[in-house]
Amino acid sequence: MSSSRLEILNDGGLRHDARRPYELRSTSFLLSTSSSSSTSSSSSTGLTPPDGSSTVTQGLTSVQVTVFGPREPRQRSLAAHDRATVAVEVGVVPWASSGSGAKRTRGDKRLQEIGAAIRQTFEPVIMTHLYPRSEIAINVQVLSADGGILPTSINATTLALIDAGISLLDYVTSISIGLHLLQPLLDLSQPEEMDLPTLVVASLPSSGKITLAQMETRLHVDRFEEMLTLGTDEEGRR
Amino acid sequence: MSVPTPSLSPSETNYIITSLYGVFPQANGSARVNVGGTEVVAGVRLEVVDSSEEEGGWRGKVEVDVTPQAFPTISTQNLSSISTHLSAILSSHFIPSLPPLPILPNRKYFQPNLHLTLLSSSGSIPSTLVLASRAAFADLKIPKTKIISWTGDADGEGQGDLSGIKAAIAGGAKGKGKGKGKYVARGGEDWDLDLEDGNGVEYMKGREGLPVLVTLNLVPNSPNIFIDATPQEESACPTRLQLFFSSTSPGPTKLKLCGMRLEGPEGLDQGRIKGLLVEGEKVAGELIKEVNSTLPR
Repeated sequence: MSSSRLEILNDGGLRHDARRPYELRSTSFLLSTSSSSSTSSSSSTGLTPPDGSSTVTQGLTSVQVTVFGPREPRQRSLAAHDRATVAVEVGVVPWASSGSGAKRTRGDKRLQEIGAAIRQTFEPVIMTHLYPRSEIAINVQVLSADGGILPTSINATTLALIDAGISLLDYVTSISIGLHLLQPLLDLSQPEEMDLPTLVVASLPSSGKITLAQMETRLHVDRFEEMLTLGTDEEGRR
Repeated sequence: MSVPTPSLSPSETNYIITSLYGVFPQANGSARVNVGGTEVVAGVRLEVVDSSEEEGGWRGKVEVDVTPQAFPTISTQNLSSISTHLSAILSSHFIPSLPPLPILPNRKYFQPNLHLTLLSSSGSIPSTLVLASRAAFADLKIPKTKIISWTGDADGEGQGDLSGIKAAIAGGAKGKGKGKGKYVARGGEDWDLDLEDGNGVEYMKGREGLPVLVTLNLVPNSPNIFIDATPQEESACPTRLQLFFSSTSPGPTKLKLCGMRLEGPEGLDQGRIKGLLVEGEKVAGELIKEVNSTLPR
């Protein structure tokens, strides 16, 4: 058998980066991180600064999200008469995944899926009825990736929306959960994500309602409930 | 030949340059540069390619990614045309100044792939892109390599066992560019990382000489020029001269002009060019000196 493969969980109960199964990576949350939002006195306000921005770092995964809106929709035909439309765009830097660089940094199918997942997560949470006929544009830029792009992006988007002053029903927090031989693991890094079945859960802490539960691998249904409960409890604590 | 009286803000005071080196450990070289409100993140990844010196497969590649937050009012389609335009400027004027990075001379090279992400824009975008590229290459750590091959007796003259002859013929064929007439048995040329001294990486040679871009904005109907324009200044003064200067020696520099672009509807009286070049060279010299003094060691 391959001895050079990474041990997901060793005999001492530690993961490959010396974390316990339920231990999260070190996180940092920063608001208003876009440089043009803190302009100097020399009037460099020619370009519009974003209404809200944030940078969230979980372990080695770092994502910056900027929010523009509510603003005039770029495509009038897509505007809804009674609510705001939410548009999400995701970009990554090519060295973000350690390994071969991604070929497309924007507009990739995989990135469009992530964008769609974020949009579907936030559409029920943003009070869109307060902003009819306008658009809320969310731009996600992944600066470095070590597993958990989607949960980190969702957390960063929540903070950016709050920074922009857009009304939300509640915070949306997100985490990734994997399963290794009956032991659930929280906040997966890249080697773990490639090996284990992964569930990404996003929920509203106060009500416990789930706005996203995404999984692309196979998992036995008996294990599913346990992982889901674990994830929502963990987000409540966060 | 009229030398204009420039209304320059001194480069040191008007540039709010904060550059951080090595911000992304996953890239071989990276930097983040912020000039005024224009923020650019740059990274270089090295790939091993097979090429020969004259084929040019070792030449670097560059790509500029313009994020929607840099130009929030512009559609995605136009963003990609801005990306292409900026990538082309860098590709024609910055990339050619990069030296080849050989592993096996004339056969294998490290090819640098430069990627820039424009996070926010507030004027002077091309200059900042070039500064960020320069910074990323200044931070670039190239793995030291050693060549592993075996060589037979030099005075063998084809004697020896069959495998020796086979290798000699193969060695002769491979070494056709090396001008060696006699049969020297040689074979199995391969390369490996050289981890003997230090941590096995070294900075790129000639990183102090990489180009910088000075943009001279011309005030319409006036002999005045200025540098480091804000977005409003750029729209008011659409005619600008972009000059790329590189230095060949690290000492008190003799700069070389390695690129020149004129943008704008008005055009330029050709008698002014010499004076503008002199002014541009002065600014470039100061800029190169400043930036070189903060290189990571």
